Amino acid sequence: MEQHIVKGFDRDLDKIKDHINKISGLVESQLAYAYQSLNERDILIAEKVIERDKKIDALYQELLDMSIQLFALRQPLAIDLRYVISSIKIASDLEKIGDQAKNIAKASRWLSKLPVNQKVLSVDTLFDLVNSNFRKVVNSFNEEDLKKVKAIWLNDAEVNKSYDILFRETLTYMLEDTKNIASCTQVISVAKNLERIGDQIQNIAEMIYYYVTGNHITQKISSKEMKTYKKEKKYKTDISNIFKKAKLTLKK
Amino acid sequence: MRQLYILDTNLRRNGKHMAEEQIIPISKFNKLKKSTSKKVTISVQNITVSYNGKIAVDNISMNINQNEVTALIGPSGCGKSTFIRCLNRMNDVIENCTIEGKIILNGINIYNPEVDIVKLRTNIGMVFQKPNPFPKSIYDNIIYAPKLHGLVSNKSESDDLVEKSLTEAGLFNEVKDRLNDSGTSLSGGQQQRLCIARAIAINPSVILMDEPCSALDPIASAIIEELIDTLKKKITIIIVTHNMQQAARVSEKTAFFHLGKLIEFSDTSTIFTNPKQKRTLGYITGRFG
Repeated sequence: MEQHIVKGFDRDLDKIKDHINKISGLVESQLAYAYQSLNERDILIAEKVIERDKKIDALYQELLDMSIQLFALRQPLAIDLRYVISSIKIASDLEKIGDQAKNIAKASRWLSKLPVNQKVLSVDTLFDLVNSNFRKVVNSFNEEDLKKVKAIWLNDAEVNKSYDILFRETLTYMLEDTKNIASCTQVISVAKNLERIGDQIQNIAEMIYYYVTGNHITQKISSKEMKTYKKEKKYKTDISNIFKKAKLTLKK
Repeated sequence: MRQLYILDTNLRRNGKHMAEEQIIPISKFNKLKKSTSKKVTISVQNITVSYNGKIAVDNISMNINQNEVTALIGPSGCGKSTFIRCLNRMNDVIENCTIEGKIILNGINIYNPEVDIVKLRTNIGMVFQKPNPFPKSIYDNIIYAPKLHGLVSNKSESDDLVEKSLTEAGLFNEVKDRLNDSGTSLSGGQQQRLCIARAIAINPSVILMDEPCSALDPIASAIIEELIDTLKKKITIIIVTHNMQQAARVSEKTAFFHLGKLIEFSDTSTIFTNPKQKRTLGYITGRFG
């Protein structure tokens, strides 16, 4: 894209991009720390994550101020207008991901109080999937690679599927032994937060696609791809078998 | 023998477009003028304008819908003013100006040699960049043309028409106590609205506005924009503007001109949010001048 005649306009747009990258960098580290605190049951890291979320909120507010100023001074149009609006939305989604990371840290703070020998179900698969999608979407924002953006959007079905599998596992674990219920509810909370992060990543992908092309991603996905996506997204494990097994256990 | 309107001889400079046109009876032309149905759609077909052989407007075709505001945007010298002046044959008076193509208004090519330019310009009014009221009273500014065209026959009719035109232009309340003051004594914004009132006094179907707000402050511009929004219910408006926010605010359709060519003509919302042509995008986002 050519530069603006008024160089200050380019500088203002670059500032917004830098700010988004700053927020996404911080959110990425928050996610990593939240996961570490969960795995290592480290209350200090969890507290650090909770504390650092305020910084993300402040950066988000700064981005809003910058955008309002840009609207007032530059009156952006077409791709510039879409870019600024999308940036606000992307920053809002990043801020929400930051909140989810904080929620994970809170759950891990709770879990860290459990006895060391008590087993807690792992969320590794779901986390890896979400974390990888997050990194990809952040890179796509800078690269404006539409193929990647589309792949990330479609990959949310995988996240949902992984969440569902984890949910089923947790349910089985709870039914096996009621002592597990306390820790499992926290694991479900973590999983739900990760699943929500997946949705926010999908929103970010939508906004990147929109500002680059001016089109909505859902209108540009082939009917075949959409059909597969919907089918996978609606995937739900049949949990009736789990309950049947549980009933048998109780009768015994 | 059919009675015809006779034409300015200047128009004969370029005879290409005239030969195949039919002669228009005066009755038909007058009927169109008095028609209140306002079924006006201007169809511009392959219009090319050259000054001394140098092309200023290059083979432009577009349809302008009735009761809509169409904005023409583009960098200076892109041909938008030349183009808008074609629509009521203002370019006819320019030496060495050649016009090819057709502009169809109410089914009639306005470049037909039988069309009377004076009558045409009562149907297609024009408002210019700088307000240009006659050095006469406010009242006379409005009533001058209707009198000339025999649209009013007595004082009472004249009074009614002056009040109606000034009211429609949103100026009546501001000047009702000083209708005999000179038109030039008004502020810039008021003078521009007086010119609009003067144009609408003779019941045009179309008003052409060539940068009507460029000499006005933001408040006076806002009043004109509001006026355009009201007038479009009755009149088709074509506006040339350098203010893109203004084009976005007032128009339904926007045409982007560059180097004499029509680059893109589409819904205003599309042009300003997602233009299809790279040059349009470059211009509206300030990436080239």
